[in-house]
Amino acid sequence: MSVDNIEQLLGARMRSQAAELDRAFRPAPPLRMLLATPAAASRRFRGVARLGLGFALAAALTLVFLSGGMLLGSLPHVQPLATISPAPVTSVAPSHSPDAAPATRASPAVSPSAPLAVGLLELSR
Amino acid sequence: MGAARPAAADRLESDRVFELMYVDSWPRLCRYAWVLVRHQEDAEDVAAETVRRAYSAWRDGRGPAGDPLPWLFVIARRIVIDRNRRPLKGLLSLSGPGGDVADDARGPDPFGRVEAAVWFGQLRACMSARQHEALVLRFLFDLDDKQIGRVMGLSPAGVRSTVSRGVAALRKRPEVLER
Repeated sequence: MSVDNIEQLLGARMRSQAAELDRAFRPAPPLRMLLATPAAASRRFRGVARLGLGFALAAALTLVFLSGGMLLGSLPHVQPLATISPAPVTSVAPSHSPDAAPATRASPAVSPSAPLAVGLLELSR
Repeated sequence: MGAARPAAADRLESDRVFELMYVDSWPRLCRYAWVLVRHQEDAEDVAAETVRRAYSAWRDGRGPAGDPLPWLFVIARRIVIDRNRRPLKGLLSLSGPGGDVADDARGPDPFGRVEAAVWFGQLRACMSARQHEALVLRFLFDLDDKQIGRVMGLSPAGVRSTVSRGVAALRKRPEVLER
């Protein structure tokens, strides 16, 4: 097969195959529509937009976590229960001070008004 | 006011000429973009972006000096190269010029089952991407050495050399032409 023959065959084959390709492409859209469609609407840009949206979402989540961490840091430190040692507790046993007599039912304190009541009872008889 | 009307009329006429040129070139532009990116939807995206940039240049008085096709091809080629230079190219889905395997990110080429696409893939497998591109520009689009050189950034001698090496590679695989 000579070079010229190859070139002729190649050209003919390419053109016949290209006709099939051309049928598969969409026809030329109206120029106004094509120009009015911003590059932003292209399929590629939609991919970029999705990527940007993903980054924005990740940034927003990071901000939320960071601000949450800062909020926790600003709260007073709460000690875990397990680490709290019991505080010194004052004794609940009754003190026997000489000034205060124990108020028990067995030995009620005599009211200062008791003699008066007894006197009145005797008078009424 | 009087000068504004002729200016507006000129602009309308200029837009009409551009639109005729665009409609005439669209199938070949899509085809060339497909040769570069090997994916139908990406090719249509590249072709649409090419037309937008071409229109902007046209309105600025930077239209083609002669045949508009090589001019459009230069713009399309730059778009593909720019996109492939981006660091996130894997995520953004364009393969390199002449890449023959569709990226996972963009899914398979809808042309994958089109017989013509399969044949172009076999042709591409015989030679380098640049040789394939030069052969396509020469034998499919009938561009001359100077026009191909302008599109691919080669000298006319470089174009001849690239084309002859592509043809030589094809001579070793004549069955590609016989299928």
